[in-house]
Amino acid sequence: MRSSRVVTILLVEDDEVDVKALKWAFDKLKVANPLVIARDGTEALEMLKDLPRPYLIITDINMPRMNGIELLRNIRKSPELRDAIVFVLTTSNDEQDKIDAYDLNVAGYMLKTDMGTSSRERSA
Amino acid sequence: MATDISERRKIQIELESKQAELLRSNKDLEQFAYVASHDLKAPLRAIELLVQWITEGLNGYDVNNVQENLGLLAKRTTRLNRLLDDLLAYSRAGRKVGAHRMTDTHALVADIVQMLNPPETVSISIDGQLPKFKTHPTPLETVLRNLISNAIKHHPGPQGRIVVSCKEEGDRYVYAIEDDGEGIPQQYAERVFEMFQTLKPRDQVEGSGMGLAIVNRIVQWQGGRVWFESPPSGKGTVFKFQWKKNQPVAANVETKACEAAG
Repeated sequence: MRSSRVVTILLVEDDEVDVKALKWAFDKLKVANPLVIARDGTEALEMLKDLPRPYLIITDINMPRMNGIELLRNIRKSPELRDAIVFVLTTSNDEQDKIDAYDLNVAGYMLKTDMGTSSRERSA
Repeated sequence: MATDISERRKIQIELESKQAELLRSNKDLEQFAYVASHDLKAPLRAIELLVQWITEGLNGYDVNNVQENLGLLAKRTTRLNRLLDDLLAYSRAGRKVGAHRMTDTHALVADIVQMLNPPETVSISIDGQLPKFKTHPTPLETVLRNLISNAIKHHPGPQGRIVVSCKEEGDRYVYAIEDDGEGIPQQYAERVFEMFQTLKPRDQVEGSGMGLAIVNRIVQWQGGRVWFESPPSGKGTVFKFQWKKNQPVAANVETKACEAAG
């Protein structure tokens, strides 16, 4: 597999507005890494077959066909993919989702929050 | 003495069954509330984000994107509306059962097709004569309409062919809606009937993901089941459901509780 030193980010997300939100956030933070999008877990697994290393994966949980937890499970089961770095970025504040994600060795579990006033109010 | 005991036993059994039903109903409600609030929040969050970006755009940062974001905003508010409507329809499934009367299901399907107004590229036909029998037309219409509408929505090619048919099987009819679309892998056999589950992202194929959940709830309420198979041709999908003949079915327990509450 072709190796490069730039980390490719695979974003697994079905909602186009959430994709925009992440791109917007990356722009603001001046993150220039190549960003690749998959619309659900099934598509992500397809793309991972040829994705050049190094990469990291950011995945939503609720998606059509194969959700984030199922994707994680499939990644950890696969000998080629099992050591991948995966972050979860989701709206789900569900305890079971968090337990499942950490059981499958996620590097981090991040909640999608509203940017702007509500987060300022929350941190005040 | 013997009658006394058997009376008491009967009452006890009835109580236990009502209790089990109440527990199940409460569990359903909890799951329903979780899924509903969760899936309804998604378009709402998108609306909040889009409003923020449009505001920034209008403040001079990036006017070009304002147009695109306004379009997305309109789409998301429509989507939220549809989700709420379908959620209501789901909660009504098995409760608003309507009258029990002689129903010509052949004419019913013809009416549904006319109302759905499919594009010319999709042909919908009925194989044979659909039965005329005593039933609750309102929920049956909802089931047929959802299945036919799905078949119309989910054909990838320029041409589509949908065939509706019906077989008699003992005390029930088995309706079949066959399309020549992409087909659905059997691994999704249960998922497709869950609330808010779609097979494609909503940005690709707009849909609430509630249609089959509604169909499933109604079909189960009257004691049947719904499933899908691969048609004999191997291409496409055929959805089948069982529908009781001639027997009136009582509305769900929840209706009685709601009526009692006034």
